[in-house]
Amino acid sequence: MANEKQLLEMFGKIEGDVNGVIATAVVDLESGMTLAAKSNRSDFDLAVASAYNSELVKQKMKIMRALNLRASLEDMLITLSDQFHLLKFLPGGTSFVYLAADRSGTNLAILRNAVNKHIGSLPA
Amino acid sequence: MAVLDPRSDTVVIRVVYDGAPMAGKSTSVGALGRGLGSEVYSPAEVSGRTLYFDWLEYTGGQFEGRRIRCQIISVPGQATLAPRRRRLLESADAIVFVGDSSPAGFISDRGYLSGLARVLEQIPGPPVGLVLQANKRDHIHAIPIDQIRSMMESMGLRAGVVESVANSGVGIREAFVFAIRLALDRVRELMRTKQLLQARPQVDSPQELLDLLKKSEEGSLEYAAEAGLVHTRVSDVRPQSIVSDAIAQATLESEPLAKGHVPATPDERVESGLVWPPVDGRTVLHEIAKARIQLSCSEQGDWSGVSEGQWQIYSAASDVFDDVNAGRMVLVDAARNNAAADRGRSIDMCVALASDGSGRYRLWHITRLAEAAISA
Repeated sequence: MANEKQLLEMFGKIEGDVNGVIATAVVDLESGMTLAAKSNRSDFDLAVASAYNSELVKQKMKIMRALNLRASLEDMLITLSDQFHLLKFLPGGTSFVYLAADRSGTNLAILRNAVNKHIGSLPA
Repeated sequence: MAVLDPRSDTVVIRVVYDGAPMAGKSTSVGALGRGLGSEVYSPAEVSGRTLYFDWLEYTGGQFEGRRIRCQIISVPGQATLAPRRRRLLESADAIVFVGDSSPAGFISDRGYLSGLARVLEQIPGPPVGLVLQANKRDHIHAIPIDQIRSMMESMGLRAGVVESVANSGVGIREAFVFAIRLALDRVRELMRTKQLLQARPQVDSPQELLDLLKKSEEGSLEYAAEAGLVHTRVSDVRPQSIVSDAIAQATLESEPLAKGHVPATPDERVESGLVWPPVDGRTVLHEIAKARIQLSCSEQGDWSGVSEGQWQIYSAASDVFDDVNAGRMVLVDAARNNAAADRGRSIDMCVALASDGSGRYRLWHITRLAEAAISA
């Protein structure tokens, strides 16, 4: 698995491709703790957001189990009135990338493309 | 031990950083504090060595809808402070053993791990998870990780290994988050067995911990700690000294046991991502870890066993892998099949990929016996 330094470098690359990144983190699904975190806004509590998002992902997984869905969860895209939030699973399924961006500067396709591109460059 | 603090509706857990002197415990906690934006409090130190403990506090993550409040403590490593070290270890919900990967440090680690193993055996309640943070990986002659793992396995210790260079913060957060996962597994088990107290933590601040230690020791360690404290490396120990006898004894006690070809069975230290269901399955591993399992091998090479009349454990002859990633793919397939058959609904079964004790990985299916009878 990638170490914290490599993850922070990945965040930098994503920020290079996406305008208006508010915060990025890699979150451990089970505990909600961040394995790496970078916030560009002091009023955005990334630790709190990451923790609650891990609960969101777990709930989604419960729903999938309840529906007997055989598919795997790849990502979750959330649109707020002024922000986009993307939750993208990393290989292994025990952690995910959480990215929040200002909606006025980008779109969901760019977000998804940038995250997928740079996740692919992480060591296994 | 963990508690649910009703004042703030948080789960309070304690992660203790252990290790030999100069292995990097305080450096690790310091790096962790910088990464988490929290300050480390050290009541006393001499020449950079911890006398009491380093204390770091962090609230984050989520557990069953509650925030997690972590008390992170590093122990003093000097042999003269062993009682203090033991007292702190006994309060842990998870332990990060900071190992020195240099050749001389590796020798020290073995003795300290042996002592830690004895402490772990005596901690009541669910097992305390262990993370081995193999530090100083930038050392020019760093011991290979496989050799470190082999040493752990020969001592009967199961731990997740995380490589680190504490001076530059590499690997620190990974080790910490893994320890949190283990601590939460323990909390889950405490909840399940109705042992999780709803109470103010016994120790709520570093000052309270300091007062508690001083009171329990009644000054007996003060002289040893503060008067001319000198770190003694293993290579400096003279033969026939008390310390050399202690080290020799610890080494003797940790000689590998003759296990033949019986594979090691999974327990609660199966690495995250290698047990399904990821949360409830770990509770199953906790249960079977406490029970004695009699394994038998069929003519086809399948392994099966029963643990004290409660759990059935099974692994096919073909379910052994040299590469953990290959095993993980099979685990994922098994998990999907079980999920599709609605068999992940309870804590009555799990599938786990575990080290078999010989450097390979084996896939195990574990089922509660009544459940096994229904599905047979």
